[in-house]
Amino acid sequence: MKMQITVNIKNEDNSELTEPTTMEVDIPEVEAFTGPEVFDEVFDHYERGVLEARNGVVEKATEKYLSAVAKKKRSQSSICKEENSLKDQKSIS
Amino acid sequence: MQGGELLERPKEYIIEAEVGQLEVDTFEIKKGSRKVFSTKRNLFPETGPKEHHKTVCFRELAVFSCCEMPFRKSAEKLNRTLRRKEEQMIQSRTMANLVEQEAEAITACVENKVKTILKCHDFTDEGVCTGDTSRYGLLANESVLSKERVSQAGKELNEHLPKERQLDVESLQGTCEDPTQVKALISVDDVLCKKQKASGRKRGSAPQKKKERVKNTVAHIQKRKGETYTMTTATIAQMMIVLLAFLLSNGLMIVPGQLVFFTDGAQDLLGAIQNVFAFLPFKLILDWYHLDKKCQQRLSMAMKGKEKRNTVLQELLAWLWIGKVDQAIVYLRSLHPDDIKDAEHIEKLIGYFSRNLSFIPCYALRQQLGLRVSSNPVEKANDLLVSNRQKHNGMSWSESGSHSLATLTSLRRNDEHMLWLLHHDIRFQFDAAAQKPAA
Repeated sequence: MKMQITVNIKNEDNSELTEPTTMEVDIPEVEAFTGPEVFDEVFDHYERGVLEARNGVVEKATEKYLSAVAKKKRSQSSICKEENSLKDQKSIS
Repeated sequence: MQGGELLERPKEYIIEAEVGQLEVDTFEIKKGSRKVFSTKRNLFPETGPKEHHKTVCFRELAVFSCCEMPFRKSAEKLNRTLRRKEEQMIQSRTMANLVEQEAEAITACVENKVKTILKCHDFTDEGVCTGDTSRYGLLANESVLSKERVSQAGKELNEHLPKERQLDVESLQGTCEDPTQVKALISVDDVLCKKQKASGRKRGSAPQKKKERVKNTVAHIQKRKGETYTMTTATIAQMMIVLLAFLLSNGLMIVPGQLVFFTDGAQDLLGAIQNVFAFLPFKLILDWYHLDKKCQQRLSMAMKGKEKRNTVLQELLAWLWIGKVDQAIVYLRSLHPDDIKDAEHIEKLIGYFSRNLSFIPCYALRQQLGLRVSSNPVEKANDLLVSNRQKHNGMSWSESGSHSLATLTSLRRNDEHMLWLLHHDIRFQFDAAAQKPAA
């Protein structure tokens, strides 16, 4: 059995800021929970896998998010620079 | 499915997990008044009323963080790490209870294991052998260092010793165990912590005469290959039984060679060792550091002035270092009465030497031969298992609180904690500790 965790980061207008990040993790079959004596062991298998996947998927999604932030800031700053250089040219002439 | 009435109980079973606090629906199937299925009984581990079940990951985080920091701090850290909501916060008292519960279960598991091992090897629960003991004493007295090696070491030492202190190497033959031919090297010691008061002092009541202490007995066992294992118990008597079972289950009792104990010379400790291990020849060595300390303490109270004390101490230790206890006693008896402040302490020191005469070896020769002269591994284990966590300003402990923390710390140092968390069992073997020496 698998658990799929997907992270979507969306803008206010519901458009996607980054592409979705997905991670899959193997989890125990329902049949593995045969009784109280194996519950801890089986659930531990589930919990460790899920924690790792959760951290992994959020890490990847956050990297994408920050890359998008950096990209936007870079383009904003280059627009500003262009505007400033135009202003400078005007003041010189 | 099985027929009968299906009852759903929403969010009835609560699980404390690292992924969060999980409120799980439970189901019951009833046939008439008879419960034929219950998720609380047939699927989830049983819990007490209002008790939350704790997952392995959660227990690993909660229980073992308490071995390193105070309960309040570890509760704060856990709540922060797990981002617990206000109503789901774990309280420090819960942490303390969790530690005690876990340690009680470990102690019960060890007790059961010990009983089974002793029974399998024809020992009673008190450690008395009911079968043939001859196989345990195999080559115990022959497993000593060769005459050539001892003579060579003695010769090297004598080159640096004054004439009156020359070693009689012949008399020392057979006293040094061959480190490759020992069953195990065992260091045992007690470690004391301040005891928590049961209740506050009442007005007008007499102050307590003696500070009450909580005692933990710690043992450090080293195999000839160097693998180690540490264990703690509440009493020395218990420790000896657990130790015997550990040696039996690891096959060390039938290994040819000697069992060597290192102690601080405490009478109860010596008595307990002799009680349980009397059926086989073993060697007991008084730790050099404790012998040195004992001399310092007694002479400080016995001699007039620091300078005289230091002179006597230097001379005394020089005799003891080469194992000449008789000469040390003669020297103490020859001290000038004018230099002595309190002769009672001199007599007490002589009494201490006489009592421990057979446990004082020639430390100089042992050191020259690369053999151990002290019980320092257990002193280090005391720090790691008890003192580092329990001996700080303002800390005082209940018996169960102190033993619980020591038990859990020792479980982790022996690398047995994952087996315990997953299967509520311990290996009770050196193998687990091989990767991570206990001290």
